[in-house]
Amino acid sequence: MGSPRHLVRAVVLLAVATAVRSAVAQSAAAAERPLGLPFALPPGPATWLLGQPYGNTTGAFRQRRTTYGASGGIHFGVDMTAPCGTPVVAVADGVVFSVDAMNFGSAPHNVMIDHADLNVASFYGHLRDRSPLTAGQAVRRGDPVGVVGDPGLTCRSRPHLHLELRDLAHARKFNPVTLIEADWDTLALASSLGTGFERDLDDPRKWQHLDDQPEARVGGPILNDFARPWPPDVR
Amino acid sequence: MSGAAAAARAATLYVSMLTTAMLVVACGADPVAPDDFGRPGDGSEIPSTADEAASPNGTASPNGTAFPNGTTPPDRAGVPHAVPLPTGLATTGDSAASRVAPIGQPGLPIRLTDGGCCVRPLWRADSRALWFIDRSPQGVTGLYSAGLDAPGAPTVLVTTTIGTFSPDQRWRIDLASGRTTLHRLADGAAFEVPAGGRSVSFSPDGARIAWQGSNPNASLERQVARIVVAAPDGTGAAEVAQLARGSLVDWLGADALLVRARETAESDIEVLWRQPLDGGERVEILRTQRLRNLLLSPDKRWLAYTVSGATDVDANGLWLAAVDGSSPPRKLEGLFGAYRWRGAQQLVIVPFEMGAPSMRLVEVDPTTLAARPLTDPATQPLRIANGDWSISPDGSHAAFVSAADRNIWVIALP
Repeated sequence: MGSPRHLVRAVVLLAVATAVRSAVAQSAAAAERPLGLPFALPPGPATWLLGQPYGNTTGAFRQRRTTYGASGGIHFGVDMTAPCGTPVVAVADGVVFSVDAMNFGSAPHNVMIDHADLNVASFYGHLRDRSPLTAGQAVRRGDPVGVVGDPGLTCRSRPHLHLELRDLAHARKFNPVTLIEADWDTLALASSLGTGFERDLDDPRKWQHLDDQPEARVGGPILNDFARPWPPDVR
Repeated sequence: MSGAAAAARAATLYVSMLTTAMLVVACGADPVAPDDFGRPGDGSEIPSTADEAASPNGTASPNGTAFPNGTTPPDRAGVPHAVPLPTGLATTGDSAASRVAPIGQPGLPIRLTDGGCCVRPLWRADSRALWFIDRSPQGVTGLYSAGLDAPGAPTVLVTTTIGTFSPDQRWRIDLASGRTTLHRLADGAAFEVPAGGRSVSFSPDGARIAWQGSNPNASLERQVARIVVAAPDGTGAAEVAQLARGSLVDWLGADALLVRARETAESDIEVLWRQPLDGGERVEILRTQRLRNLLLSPDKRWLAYTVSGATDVDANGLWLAAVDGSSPPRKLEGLFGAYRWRGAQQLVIVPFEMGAPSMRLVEVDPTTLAARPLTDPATQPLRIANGDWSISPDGSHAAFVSAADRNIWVIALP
C-alpha cells in the first residue's frame, strides 16, 4: 500500500468525485438558489464583503428583545458592508412594491421588490438616497436599485446594505444564503462571523451554520430566547 | 430525482470517495513522531462587543467560547468522563477514520468527527486534541474532545462546565446571565468580579485580568467601551480607559494593553494604542480608516489587520504592522483573506478566492513578506464553513469545520 499506483488511483478518485459534485451542485443550485447577488461588483476589501449574516447571530441575541424583537429576535437579513455610494442591483426580475416604505425599517431609504414568479420579495435597506425606482415599475435582474448608505446617516459610521428576502405578504423572512447563488463559504472567510452564532446549550448544534437558520416572521415569537444561552447575557 | 436529492447524493458520494482516497494514500504512512507537548496556548479570550457583533468592526479575537488548555481541568460537576457520545458521533472500532494517515505528516485533510458535528473547536494546548461544545444522545451538554491520535474515535467528555479558562489554567471563568465568577482551581475559591457576565482576558503572567463594559442597548454610534483592570480575585478594579466605539484588543505584556477606538464617535478613522497600566500616556501605534480583524502575534511583535471600505482605495487590503513602530505598516499586495498566526513568526492566510473549487493555505513571513503555499488545492481539497478554522498552538496542523460535511477536519502543515 502507499505505492505510486495507489496514489494515482486516489487522485483520480478525487478528481472524479469533485467533477461529479461540481456538475450536480451547479444544476441543483440554479434551481434552488434562483436569485443573484445585490451587487454587480465582485466582492473584495475595496468593494463589498459579508458583514453580519442572517439568523441566530450572537449580536442579534444580545438585542433580541430590542432591535430584533419585532421579527423573532434573530438577524432577519444579511448585512453586506460596502462604502457609501456602492451601486445596488436587483437580485431577480420583478416589480417594485414600494420605495421608502419606512414601516419596513432600514432607514434612511429602502426599496421592496416583489418577484412573483419566485414567490419571494427582496428588500434593500439603508440606501443612501431615495431610489429612482417607483412602485409598480418592472425591473430586471441586475438593474440599479440605489446605492449603499449608512444607518448612522454619516457614511462614516457603518455603511452597509441590509438585504432581506420575504414572502409576497412581506411577513415571513427567509435566509438569503439559501436563495442567492454565491460562494458563501468564501464570503464567510472575510466576514465578522468570528463573533459567531449564539448557542442553545440544550441543543448546541442548532442554527450554527450560514445555511441552517430559522425563518423569521414579523410579530412572531422570539426564537433565540434560550434557557441556557452561550455566550450568556451580559449586564 | 430532485435537484436537492441529487446534490445530496453527490455530496455523499464525494465524501465517501474522499475518505476512500485518503485510505489508499494513508496505508503506507510512517508512524507519527512525538509532538512538542507543553507549548503554551492562549486560553483566555477577549469579550466581543455589541459593536463587533452588529457591524463588521470586530476584532479577530476568539469569542464567547474559550476552553482550558493542556490538561483536563477538574470537573467539579462530578460527571464522569468518557461517557456518552454526542449525537451522531457513534463510531465502531473498525471505523474508516481509525485507519487514516497518522497525524503529523503533510497530506490530505483528516476527518476527526463523524455525522456532522460541531463548530468553533479550540485546540488543546498540547496540539493533540480539539475541544468543542456538544451534547450527547443522553442529553449531557459539555465540552467534548476529539484527539488527533485517533481520528474518528468516539469523542470524550472533558467537562460539563462550559466556561473559559486562564492561559495557565489556574482559573476558570464562569459566565452566567449578568455574572462573571472566577474560580481558583487550586483551592476552589470563587470570586465574583464586576464584569457583568462578560468574559475576562488574563495578562500573560496571569496576575491581572481585563474586561470591557459597554451598554448593549445603546446605539452603535453611542457605544463607549470602558476598559477595567483588576486582580483575578476582583480586587483593585480600576477603569483604565474609555474608548468611543472602541474595544480591548489584547494584552501587550504584563503592564500594557492594546486598545482601539474611533478617532471620534462620528469618525471613520480608527486608532490603535498601547495603553500602559502604570498611569503613563497612551501611545498611538497606528490610525487608519475602517480597521478590521486585528490579530496580534503570540509574541506581541506583529499585528495583522484588514482595511476594507476605505475611501482611500489603495488602503484596502490585508496589512502587517510592527507593534513597536520599528517599521511602517506594509500591505500584502495581491493577498487578501482570512488569517491566523502560526507561532510568532508566520501568518497563515486562506486567500479570498470566490468560486475556487477548493480553498488553500498560504504562509507569509511578516519580516520579509515572502509567501509560500502550505497546501495544494488540487491534491489537498478543503472547504471551510463559517470561516471556522485555526492553527494548532505548536503550528503543526490547521483545523477547520468542513463546509462539505460539517465535521472537524485537520491537515498537517509542512
